[in-house]
Amino acid sequence: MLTPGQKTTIEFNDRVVRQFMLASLAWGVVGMLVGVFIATQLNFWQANFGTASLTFGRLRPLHTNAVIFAFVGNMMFAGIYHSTQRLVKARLASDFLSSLHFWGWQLIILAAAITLPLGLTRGKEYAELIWPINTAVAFLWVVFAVNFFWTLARRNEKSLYVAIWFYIATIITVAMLYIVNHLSIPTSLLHSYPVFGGVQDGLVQWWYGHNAVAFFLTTPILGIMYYYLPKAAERPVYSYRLSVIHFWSLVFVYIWAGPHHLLNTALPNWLQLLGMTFSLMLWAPSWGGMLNGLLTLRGAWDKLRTDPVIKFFVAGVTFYGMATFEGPLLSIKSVNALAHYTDWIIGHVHAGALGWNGFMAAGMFYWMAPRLWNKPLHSIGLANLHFWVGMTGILLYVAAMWASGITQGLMLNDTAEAGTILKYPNFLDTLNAIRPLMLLRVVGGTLYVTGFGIMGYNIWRTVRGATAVNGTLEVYVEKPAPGEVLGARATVFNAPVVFTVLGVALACVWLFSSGWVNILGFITLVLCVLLAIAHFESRGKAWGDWYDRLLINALPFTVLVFLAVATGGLIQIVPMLTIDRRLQTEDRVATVYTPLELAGRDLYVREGCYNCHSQMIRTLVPDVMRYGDYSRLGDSIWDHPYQWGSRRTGPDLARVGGKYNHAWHFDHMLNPRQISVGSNMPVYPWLFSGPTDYAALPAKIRVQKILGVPFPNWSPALIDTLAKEQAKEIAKDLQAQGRSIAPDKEIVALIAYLQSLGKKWEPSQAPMAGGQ
Amino acid sequence: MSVIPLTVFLSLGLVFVFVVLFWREQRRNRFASPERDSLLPLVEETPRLARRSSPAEPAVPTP
Repeated sequence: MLTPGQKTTIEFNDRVVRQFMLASLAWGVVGMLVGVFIATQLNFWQANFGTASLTFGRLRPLHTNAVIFAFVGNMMFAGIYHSTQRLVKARLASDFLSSLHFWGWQLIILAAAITLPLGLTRGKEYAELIWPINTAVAFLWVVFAVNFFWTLARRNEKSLYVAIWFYIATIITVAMLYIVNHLSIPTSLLHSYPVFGGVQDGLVQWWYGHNAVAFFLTTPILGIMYYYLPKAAERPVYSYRLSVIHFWSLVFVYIWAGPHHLLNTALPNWLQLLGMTFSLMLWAPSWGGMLNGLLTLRGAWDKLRTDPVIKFFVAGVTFYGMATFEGPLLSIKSVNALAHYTDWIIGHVHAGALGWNGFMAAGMFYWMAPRLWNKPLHSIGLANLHFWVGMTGILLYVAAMWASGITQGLMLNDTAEAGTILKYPNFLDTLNAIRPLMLLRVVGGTLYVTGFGIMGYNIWRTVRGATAVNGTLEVYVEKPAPGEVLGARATVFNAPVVFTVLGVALACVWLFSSGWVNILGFITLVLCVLLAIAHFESRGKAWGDWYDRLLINALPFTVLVFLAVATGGLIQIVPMLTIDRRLQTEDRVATVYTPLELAGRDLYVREGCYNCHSQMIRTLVPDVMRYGDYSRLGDSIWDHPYQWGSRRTGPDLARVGGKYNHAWHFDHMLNPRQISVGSNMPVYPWLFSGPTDYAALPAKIRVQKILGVPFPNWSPALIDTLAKEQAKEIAKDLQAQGRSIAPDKEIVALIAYLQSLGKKWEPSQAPMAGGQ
Repeated sequence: MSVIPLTVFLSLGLVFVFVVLFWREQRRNRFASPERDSLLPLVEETPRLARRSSPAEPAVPTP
């Protein structure tokens, strides 16, 4: 038993760091190769090979999940475990938990790599994993959290460094987002329906989806930046005080920005405005962080020429700045009207993923490998080659996607004859206009993954023949000092917290009220800010002392971080979830699907149609001219999961029902180019041989009823009869149109669903509470 | 005015100020300070072979 004041040597658990690092490298290459493959499919439909498990709709979720959770996930765990041990001067609390975390995470990735190509999906972006796997993810996240916080509890360095703050925010926020967005009720071992539907599902999805970017791809990497950039530059971070502002403003503001993914849709306008406003506010903390990172190199810019680690970090942080400039820009409603559903968004997200995440990972790996194996990097030249090949790849990719997105957006929105008709009424004209740019993306992506391959080779040559080493550190066991502990009262009742809470409350009064209360809210908010500034100027030391104490109290710190990130969700999400959804229908409400249509809808989700087709006609004139009457909240009220989509590689399908006859859909699914010349849609021959799963329908309808979907009280036998009768009707119609198919085939169910889109509604009896 | 008593007086004053500030800093050294915390990543460590036969095996030289 060590006593306070005693000197001891600790040996870090770097084994798990090495494991996560190598896993990240391997999965990174796999995830990126899948990305290049599916990008190729967009140009050459033949690359789908007529094989179900290789089609774009099934592989795109594999690509996104692989790069987010496998590549960045493993990289993040390597960085967090490596830097945390050193920053808190303690070995990871449990070797068992560390190993369980590593091997469990790899098993999850493997399970995802098997189930997603099989079409086992929840149908929500970045949240596709079926319920047994996402339950395992939640469990392992808890394992990670326990291991991390247990290590903090055993630390020999009292004060928590800024990187640790970002890690804490990551752990608690991702847990909150992941659990809420994955709430589902299973219908079988491999299938479930999300508990939220329609607009509620959309809002929760993008509260999660946007903040997966924020708290999975950004905050942990910022923590990594704050540790490894000073390490590599051999000087402390430019401004530690700026990092305090960077951290708190970023975690508070980020969580509110989710609705910017649903601009100009049926989402209530107050939420759209909040999403846009907070997105614009994000400019400041993001750039504060970027500048803090870049200025850390003061006096060390010469290293940029010689040290590949610095080179990758500087480029990575710069891409962070560029992507966080572009994000708020795209969140302006009028810009979004052009950019949304186009490749501009794809370019934006890849500027972040390839430039920020990929290059920060590369910088960290090049820094770590020589130290974890105690051997110099095999080749500086190869690392430089990686940098320039990767950089060329990113620039080609992003520039191509900008040009593609703006071109297609302009063409889709363009009108003729004084705005009375669309200039390009055929969607395929806009698709074929961007084909060269989509091909350029394949070239850019190939270059980027080649760069990653070069890094893999370089690190393999570094590691080969070397013996792994663990870091050791001599530390003094510190005794607790009186006055260190921050109780609940001291955590909450202090000037910084009180002024912040008061300020947010008054801002809410100002934002959500009208008339004289609105004016009063604004005036009192301004007074509150002025008072806070005056108090800080006169009692700044008290603010500083309190924060110093907070930094040695991990639990109060974590509680305040949780409050900061939960506030946005509380104000945005809870009102939408608690209000009766029948009050949010505008002037129409959908009628429930027939059993066969529901079976068809699940096929639509299985094939990942939402990856290319939206079901949301925005409140924009060109959208309405092209696709029909704008989508109402009531249209998708019973949709579990919602299928509004985020990219239109193909046209919107919200009102496709009845637009074409059954034979059109039959032919189109068999060979899209037979009907739509120039289409890049895959062929779906397996839908013509696979049988519809009638047996699963009773369980599915039972679960939907539990979720509040007003299905009649059908018995399982009646459900079966209704489904089969409708299938026979459709098969008979097809027969009459010269197409022969057995009624029990999947294509019949899918046609039933597609023909129902936009057709199944009745006037709403509810007041227009959710209307705009 | 003699310069020696003045020098001694000022020096003692500086010593006093130093002692007070040092004592104050010592008293609050359990708490963080941004300047100190910002140096945390720069702590040097010593590598030790991961697969060694005995825990007492010496550290290895850095590359």
